[in-house]
Amino acid sequence: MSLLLREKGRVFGAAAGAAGISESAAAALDAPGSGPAVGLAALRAQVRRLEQGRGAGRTRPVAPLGLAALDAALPGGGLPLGALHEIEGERAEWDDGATLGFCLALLARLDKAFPRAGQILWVSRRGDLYPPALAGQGLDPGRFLLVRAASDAEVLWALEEGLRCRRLAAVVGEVEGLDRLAGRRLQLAAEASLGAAGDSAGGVTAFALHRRFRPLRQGRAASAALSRWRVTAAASQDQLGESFIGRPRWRLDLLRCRGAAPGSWQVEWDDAACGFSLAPALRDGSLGAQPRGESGTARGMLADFRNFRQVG
Amino acid sequence: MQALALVADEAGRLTLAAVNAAAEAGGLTPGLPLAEARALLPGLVTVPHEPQADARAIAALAAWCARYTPWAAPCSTAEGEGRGAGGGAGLLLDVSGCCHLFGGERALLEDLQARLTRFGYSARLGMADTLGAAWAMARYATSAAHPCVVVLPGRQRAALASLPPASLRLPAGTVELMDRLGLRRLEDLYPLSAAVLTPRFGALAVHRLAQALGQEAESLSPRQAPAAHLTRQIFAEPVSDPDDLARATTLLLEHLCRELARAGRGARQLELTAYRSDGSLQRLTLGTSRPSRDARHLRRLFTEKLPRLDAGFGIEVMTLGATLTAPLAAQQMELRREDDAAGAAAGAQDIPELVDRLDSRLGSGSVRAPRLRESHLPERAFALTPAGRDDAAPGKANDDWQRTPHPKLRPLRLLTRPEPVEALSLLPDYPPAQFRWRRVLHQVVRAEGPERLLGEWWRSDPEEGEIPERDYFRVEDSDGRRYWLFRSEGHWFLHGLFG
Repeated sequence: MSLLLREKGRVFGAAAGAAGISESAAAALDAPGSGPAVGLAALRAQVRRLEQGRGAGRTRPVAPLGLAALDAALPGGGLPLGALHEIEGERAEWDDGATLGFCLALLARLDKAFPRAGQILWVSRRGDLYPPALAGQGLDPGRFLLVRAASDAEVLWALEEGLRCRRLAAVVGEVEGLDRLAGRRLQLAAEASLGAAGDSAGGVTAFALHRRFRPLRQGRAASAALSRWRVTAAASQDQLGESFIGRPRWRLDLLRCRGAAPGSWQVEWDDAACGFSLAPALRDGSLGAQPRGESGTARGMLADFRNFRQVG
Repeated sequence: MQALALVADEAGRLTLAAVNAAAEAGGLTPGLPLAEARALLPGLVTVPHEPQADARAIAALAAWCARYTPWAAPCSTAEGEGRGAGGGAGLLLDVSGCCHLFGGERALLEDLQARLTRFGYSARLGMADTLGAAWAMARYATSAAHPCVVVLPGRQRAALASLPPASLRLPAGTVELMDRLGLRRLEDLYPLSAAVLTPRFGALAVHRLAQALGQEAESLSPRQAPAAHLTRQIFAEPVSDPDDLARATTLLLEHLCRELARAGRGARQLELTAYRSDGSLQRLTLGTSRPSRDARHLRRLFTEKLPRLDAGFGIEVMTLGATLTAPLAAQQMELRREDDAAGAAAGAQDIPELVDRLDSRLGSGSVRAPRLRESHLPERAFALTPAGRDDAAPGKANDDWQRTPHPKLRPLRLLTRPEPVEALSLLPDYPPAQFRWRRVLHQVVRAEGPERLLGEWWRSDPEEGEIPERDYFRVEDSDGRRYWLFRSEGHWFLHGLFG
């Protein structure tokens, strides 16, 4: 990395952008005579090795999310395993179901990729995860170990302990904050689980679910996690033959991910098929909230209520 | 020294319950009315007598005495009611087989005497073959100059000969009667047969005499059942360095695990007791989710707890007991250790080990596994049981969950208690058009329901009371967030959140 930065400083100056790095390095590699394409590929591989840290020389196992748009954006074609992933909500100071829903969706995908039925350690300060609903998400509640901790420090400690136990598939912690040091520790522990378990691929994957009970005073600390997602609930659309409330829709913002560029998607989660699909809002290219017509006004509501159906 | 007495209120009559040495020198004895005592010693300081506090202090001292032997108990105060020299609290210790650890019987007594003196107690100690003889010797054969008396094995008959009948732990009335009949020494009772004694003094007198002489067995019921497997570490001088304590714990664990291995058992519960030099003690208890005698694993469990041990001015003795054990067949452990050394970091290898580690730091029972319960009420549809305690193989697919009613209609988060919300619905049976939860107004855009759940009338739980019927609605607000609301008796509550 330091070599690249030096190159960047020499050729493009301090203001060179991300695109400038590869170009400059390609220019530097052009000199020995190899073609630019070969140089680029070699350099990309080198960068990937650097970015994967301890896992250099090996490809990190991934759990494909089953949606081409998402998988293409993630390094290695899926959610990297044996790593720490942060999930936060838009209005994180409130109890938010969307972050939890996305986290469970990821766990379900992880299960699908590695159906070895390792247990899942769920550490929380408030034990309000509702096990019977897990069955509806395609997860077996019997595989969950629910841990009740009294403070954030205990949550983080329990997560780290869990990451050392190879019999787990994943650890999930509901944390109020995750500073750089704590994130780094978890990330290293997750990577170590990957290194030692040569036989059972996958290692132990950690998820930090941000859940604040107080508003955030200052900005978030820089994160050491491999990826960081922001999940925002989006209005669902009912489909004919389905229940009136459609499948959950989320706007996913990949805020940062080592080895990948940030991105935004609006997805729909189908728990029966255990898969994501792109929500129509994105198919036509618009990411913004879709127009809702008259809803919000009394007349619009009355119109909506004509459509209420009884649950069978 | 200031004369001091404890004053007890006996049915409105103030009498002395106990006196110190200075007051005794002034002619005061326990049982004297307070007015009389004040006349004798005008400068007497009095303090109210608190029997409960006395009992607590003596129980704490008995617990401390477990540093000598696990069989230690406070004397029940019902015995030796007499207020004379025989009255007052006492401790009984069964030191069979323990004396050699302290350099012999007399050395043990002198050590105990010295320590008790240092704590500020004045103690008289007697040691004999029988409980009754030791009780009598400590109370009637000792003096301030010779506070420790040891009766050689088998010599209690001779040793007790010159003691008064009060030394037999008899009620005051019986002792008085013996005194009137001229039976002033125990040797006067020796020639009398049970047939003579029983009609006059009751069966208890015969019983006590036989117990003191060792003709009848009497056993001590300890304060606490001693652990079946116990190891002990005595330090040359008080230790307070955490590293030293950790090392001592490791040693104790290795001893204990060897002992357990010989017995073919594994520990389910361990108790580490530290006897501090100030006479108090500290206990650490930990449980394991499955029987274990793996010193390495158990040591790690203690590592989380050891910082809670307050060494104070130093710890003199540490004992480690397996208070609960279960059969554990011999198993090969060496291979696993090699495996551990081969590369894996110091982490839990298996789920039960992980559960133990989490439990030991976060508190017992903080790791739980959900179990399905047959109930349609959402809050009763599952139970949390301590993980790893049952025999069910962890990770085994549980088919029970297939029977969960409407899993897709259930929220991912269920609030511990339904939270009341201000909701507005257009028509009585309609879902809410808007609701205010935690001070935020939500406009309902889509809704689904109602799903009517009735209280379980067949379950009579006086604590929870009757749960009235609820009409549940799944609603989605204008931001796409989904909530689970219900209406019950005209009020709206928010009960859960969907993904």
